[in-house]
Amino acid sequence: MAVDRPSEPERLPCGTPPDEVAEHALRGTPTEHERGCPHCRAVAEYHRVLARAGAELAAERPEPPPALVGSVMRAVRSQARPDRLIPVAAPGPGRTAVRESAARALLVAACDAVPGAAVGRCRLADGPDGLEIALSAHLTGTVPAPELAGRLRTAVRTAARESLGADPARIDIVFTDID
Amino acid sequence: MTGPPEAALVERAQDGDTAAFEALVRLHQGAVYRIALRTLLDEGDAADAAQEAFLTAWRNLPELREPAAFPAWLHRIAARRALNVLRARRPEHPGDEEAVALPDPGAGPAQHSVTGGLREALLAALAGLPPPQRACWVLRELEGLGYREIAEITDSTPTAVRGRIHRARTRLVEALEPWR
Repeated sequence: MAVDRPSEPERLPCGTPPDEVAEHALRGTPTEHERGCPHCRAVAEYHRVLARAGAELAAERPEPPPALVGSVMRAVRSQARPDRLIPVAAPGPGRTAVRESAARALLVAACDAVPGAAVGRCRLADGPDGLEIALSAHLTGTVPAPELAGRLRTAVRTAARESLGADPARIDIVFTDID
Repeated sequence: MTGPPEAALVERAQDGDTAAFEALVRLHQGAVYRIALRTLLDEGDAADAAQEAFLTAWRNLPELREPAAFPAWLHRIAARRALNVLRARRPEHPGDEEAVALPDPGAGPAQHSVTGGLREALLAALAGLPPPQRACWVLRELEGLGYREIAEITDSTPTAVRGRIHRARTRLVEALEPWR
C-alpha cells in the first residue's frame, strides 16, 4: 500500500507544520507564535468547529455498564491459574502441604496489617532447609525501609508459624520503589 | 483511598490474586470502556470489547515486566481489541453510518440543541471514517496517545499514523462545515 504522505510533514510559510497547529487548537493550547502568526491563525480558525466538537467529546466520561466488573470477574475466576501445593514442615513426623494461593493470601493479609508498607509479590518455595518466602514491598508511609523489613519479617514469620505450622527457613524482602 | 498502591495490586494480580485484579478492573473500567466506546460508537459492542480486553490483560499479566506500566499497557490492549472488532464488523455492515446509536435528541433542554447537534454530527462523521482513520484520530485527539504508541496498536508506522490522522481531520472538518 502506498503511503500518500511525504515523510517530511507539510509546513506553513512560517515553518510550523499545520497538523501541529490543528492539534494545539483542539487542546486549546496554542503556542505564543501560533496566537500571533496569521498563517497559524488561519489553520486554527479552519479547525475551530472540529476543535469545539472534539473538546466536548474528549471531556465526556461515559459510565461503563454496572454489570461489567461482575461479568469480567466471573470469566476471570473460570480461568483461574493452576495452583501449586507447597510442602510445609508440620509438627511431628511427616510433612503436610498447603495450596500456594491460600498460603499467599494469608501471608499478604498479615503484611497488610503492617502500616507503611504494601506487599506486591509473594512467592513461596520449598527450599533445602524448608519454606522460603520472597516478598516485594512498596513504601506507603514514612517508616524507613530497614525498620519496615523487620516488621514485615516478624508478621510473616508469625503468620507462617500460627497458620501454616511452618517456620520459614528464609524470608527475602525487596523494596521495589527505592532507588 | 486506603488500599494498597496500584503497583502492589498489579504484582498480586500477576501472582494470580483475583481480588487484586478485581480492584484493578474497578480502577480502570472507565478508561477501558471509554476507549472502546469512542472507537466502536456502540455501547453493547464497547462493553463486550472492554470485557475481552480485561480477560486478555488477565491472561497476559504475568508477562508484564514493569508494574508501573500497567495502565498504558491495558489501554493499548483495549484500543487494539476495539480496532479488531471494528475491522471485523465493517465489511458485513456497509450501512454502519446509519447504525450508530445516537442519543435521544429530545433528551436535552432546547438551548443545548445546537451543541448537541454538533456533538452528534461529529459522532456521525466519525462513524463514516474508515476504521484505521477513526481509531487513529480517537487515540490521538481524544485519548492523547503518541504517534509511536498508536502505530504499535494499529500495526503501522508513525508516518502512516500521522497521515491517517491528517486525512481524518480533513474529512471531519468538511463534515462539520454546516456548524461553522
